Amino acid sequence: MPPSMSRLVALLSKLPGIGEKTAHRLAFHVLDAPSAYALELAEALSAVAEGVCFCTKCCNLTDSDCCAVCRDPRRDDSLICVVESVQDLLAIERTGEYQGHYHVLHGALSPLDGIGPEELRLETLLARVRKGGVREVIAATNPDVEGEATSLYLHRLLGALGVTVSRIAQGVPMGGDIEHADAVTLGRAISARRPL
Amino acid sequence: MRVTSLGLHGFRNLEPVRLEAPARLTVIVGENGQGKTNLIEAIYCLATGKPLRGGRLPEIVNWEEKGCRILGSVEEEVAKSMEVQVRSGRRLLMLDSKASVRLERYTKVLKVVAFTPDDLQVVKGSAENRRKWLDRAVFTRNEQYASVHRTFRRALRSRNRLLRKGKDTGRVPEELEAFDEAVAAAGARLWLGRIGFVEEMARLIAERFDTISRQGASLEISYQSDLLREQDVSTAGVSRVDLEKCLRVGMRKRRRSDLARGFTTAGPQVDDLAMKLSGHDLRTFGSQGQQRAAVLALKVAEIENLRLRLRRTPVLLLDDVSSELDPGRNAHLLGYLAGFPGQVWMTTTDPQLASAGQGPEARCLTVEDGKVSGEGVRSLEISPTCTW
Ligand SMILES: Nc1ncnc2c1ncn2[C@@H]1O[C@H](COP(=O)(O)OP(=O)(O)OP(=O)(O)O)[C@@H](O)[C@H]1O
Ligand SMILES: [Mg+2]
Ligand SMILES: [Zn+2]
Repeated sequence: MPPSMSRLVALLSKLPGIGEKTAHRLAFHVLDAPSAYALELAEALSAVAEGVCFCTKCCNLTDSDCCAVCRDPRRDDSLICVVESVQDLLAIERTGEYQGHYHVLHGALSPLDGIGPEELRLETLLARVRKGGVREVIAATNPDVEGEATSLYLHRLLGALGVTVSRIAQGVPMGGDIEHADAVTLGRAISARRPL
Repeated sequence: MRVTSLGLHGFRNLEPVRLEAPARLTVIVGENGQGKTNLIEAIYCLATGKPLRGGRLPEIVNWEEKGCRILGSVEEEVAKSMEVQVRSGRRLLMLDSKASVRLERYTKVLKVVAFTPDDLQVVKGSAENRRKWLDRAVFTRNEQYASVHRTFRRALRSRNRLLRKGKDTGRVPEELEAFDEAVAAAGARLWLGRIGFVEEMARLIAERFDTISRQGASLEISYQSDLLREQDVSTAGVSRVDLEKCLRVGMRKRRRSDLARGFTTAGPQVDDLAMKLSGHDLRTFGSQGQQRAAVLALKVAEIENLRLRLRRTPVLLLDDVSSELDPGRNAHLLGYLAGFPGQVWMTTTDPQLASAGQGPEARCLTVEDGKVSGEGVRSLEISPTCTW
């Protein structure tokens, strides 16, 4: 195989979920396609590498200074939803239920992975809250050890500044049934019940 | 509940084999080192996805093979097929040919209680042995406990890592308090599982011990925790919220010494199960016979508790137990087994005990250098390689 092909295969197999075999298949697919496709793909890749950066306000992905959510004037400025990743932000956006702003931490506190507060994008969040006008911060981190600890940390950090910090609720999934829900989820759904 | 067939390929030293005929009692005989325990372990592994002896899962794969398969059919209300495959350190669990079943779901199907010579350590050994027995028994009764246990271990390891960092740098990590909370939340759930189980078992164990030893001495077990004791938290009817608070307060009080040592010094991870014989510590003061009677009582109570709670009779796996018990306890055990309504698999090197495999609904299997022979032994007709 020519070195340029081996290089492509090697680079592709670094992608998550792509083994050597799949990388070969993909490489040959690109080779077989009209050459315009390969050039367009290369251009798209470099556009992402050069053009995409973090929003200066919320650390979402953007190709300008400020992301689309932060630029949207209809959004509620007094609400900030804190998430671990851009994927989580997109998942909440898909619900269409949320009209506030976001803050992406790009991780969660994880001593076992060596991730402490300095590794998270907390400075900009603190600055936003200190500037005033924020009424509530919603901790939408994952319901695992790291996510729970991160939300408790946010509570301590931001609670001191006088904003309300709330935690997303956990409960029985829609379309699921109580009988088959796991005990921990069901237990939390019971303790986090609300009046009708 | 019965195992009605068992198929093995690449499992420890055992040659590929299929076992048919669901006898109620199977006695496995053979000389030392032939593979008797391995055969018992195969059933344990089929039920739980885990090796019987401490160890790591990849160790069950035959040294010459790349992977291993354990297949079984289980007869409950409906028949089910189960399979465990292990290859390159990975495990695949299958139920009715459906792959990648979660452990919590998989282990619901076949309940086994194993009794091995190592179990004597529950009485004689360190607190860790008792915690392990407790956690495994709670898990057998309630599969959800596995995730509680996992979460607690991760939270504790995280906190310990921070304490270690604090010790090394001389600065308290800012996020330590957040992980105190994580440990407290998970630890309270772990406590609740253990405490509830001990409470249920205490009376059963005392009764069993009484019938086994017939000496009038009474055996009392109770859950022992420094934190619960120093804060006067009674285990009877205690709530999760109270337990969480107790753990949180305990960690806060010990923060400085924890930081100095670099790990969490109090909590469920250092608790113990106290066993007292008429008020005296069984481990220190009990005779050999009393200690053996206690282990037997513990095991039988565990089985009876499962039957009561799950309304299902577990499959019993007894590995070379007769060699660890004296004639009196052995007689009691055999009497219990004779009246036991469920399926029993037992190994022995004692030809005398092998005669137990002669009765109705019983059979005797011989294991010699990894080759199983006897009634119901067939050749295996599956592809030897793992299916993924
Ligand atoms: N992964 C493996 N691959 C091949 N052989 C193994 C493996 N693991 C264990 N063995 C071998 O299996 C043999 C039988 O072990 P097993 O513990 O079943 O014997 P046993 O019949 O119970 O003997 P005993 O009466 O002494 O308890 C041992 O010689 C051991 O070395
Ligand atoms: Mg053995
Ligand atoms: Zn933004």
